[in-house]
Amino acid sequence: MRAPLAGRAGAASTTDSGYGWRVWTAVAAGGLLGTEVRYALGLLFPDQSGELPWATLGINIVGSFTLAALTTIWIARPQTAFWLRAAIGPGVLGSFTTFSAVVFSTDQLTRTGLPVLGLLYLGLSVLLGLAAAAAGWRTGRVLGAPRAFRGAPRGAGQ
Amino acid sequence: MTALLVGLFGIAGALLRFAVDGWLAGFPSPRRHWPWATLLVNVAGSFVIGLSVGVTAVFGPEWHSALATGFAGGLTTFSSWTTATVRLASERRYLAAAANILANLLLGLAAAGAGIAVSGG
Repeated sequence: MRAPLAGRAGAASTTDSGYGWRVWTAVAAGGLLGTEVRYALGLLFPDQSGELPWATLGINIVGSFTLAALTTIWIARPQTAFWLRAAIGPGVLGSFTTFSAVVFSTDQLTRTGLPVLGLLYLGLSVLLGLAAAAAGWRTGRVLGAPRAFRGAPRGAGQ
Repeated sequence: MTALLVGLFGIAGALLRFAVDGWLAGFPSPRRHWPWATLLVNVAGSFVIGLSVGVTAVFGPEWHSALATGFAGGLTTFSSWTTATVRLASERRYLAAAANILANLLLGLAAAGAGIAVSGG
């Protein structure tokens, strides 16, 4: 995994953790995009007191479906550039979705006398998030399958 | 101004999460993969969002957004957590999948509560 550091040239293109600067830059750019879109959606659909945090719930469902779909697509197509996968996966989708806001809102709803709503929010986040990831996983398998597998005329049966 | 802070702190959170993932992946282990890195960043980020409760009174609301929405939001991830759980289930590692769900939820809630307590919220 780790490229040997051969003098300055090697050191310039490889970091201590073995990823090149291109990969770190890709994660940073993706992280910026994912964070800003989540922030903007939070401003457009602010949490209302006594209601479920719908924006975060929607973000986490959409993000779970997309990451799971891309994961199985990339398993089928490992030649996809690593920096591109890093930009979209850990970068955009990792930053777009959030775990801390879910547990924090659950805590706050419970503290403000709405423990049922808090548990409902936590339960919906987990169940719908997992269902979305499962659906994405299967969707990616279908989309990532070779064309022949999907019934293209050439190469069927290979 | 706030949007800029949130973005910069979000980048920091994302890079730290990616670094933790790469760092933990570097340990040779005879055991099969389990998403330790995601658990670690989710618990740490839940503690940070708890801490952020006290930030508004001291530094102002823009720094609260930077820490809670930017850093804690960027550091923690929901999609990797659900996708890794589905992956474990697809490998018929149901116990590992259930442990992944429970460990993140219980330790995350505890960490958020601890952060709130420390910040005096």
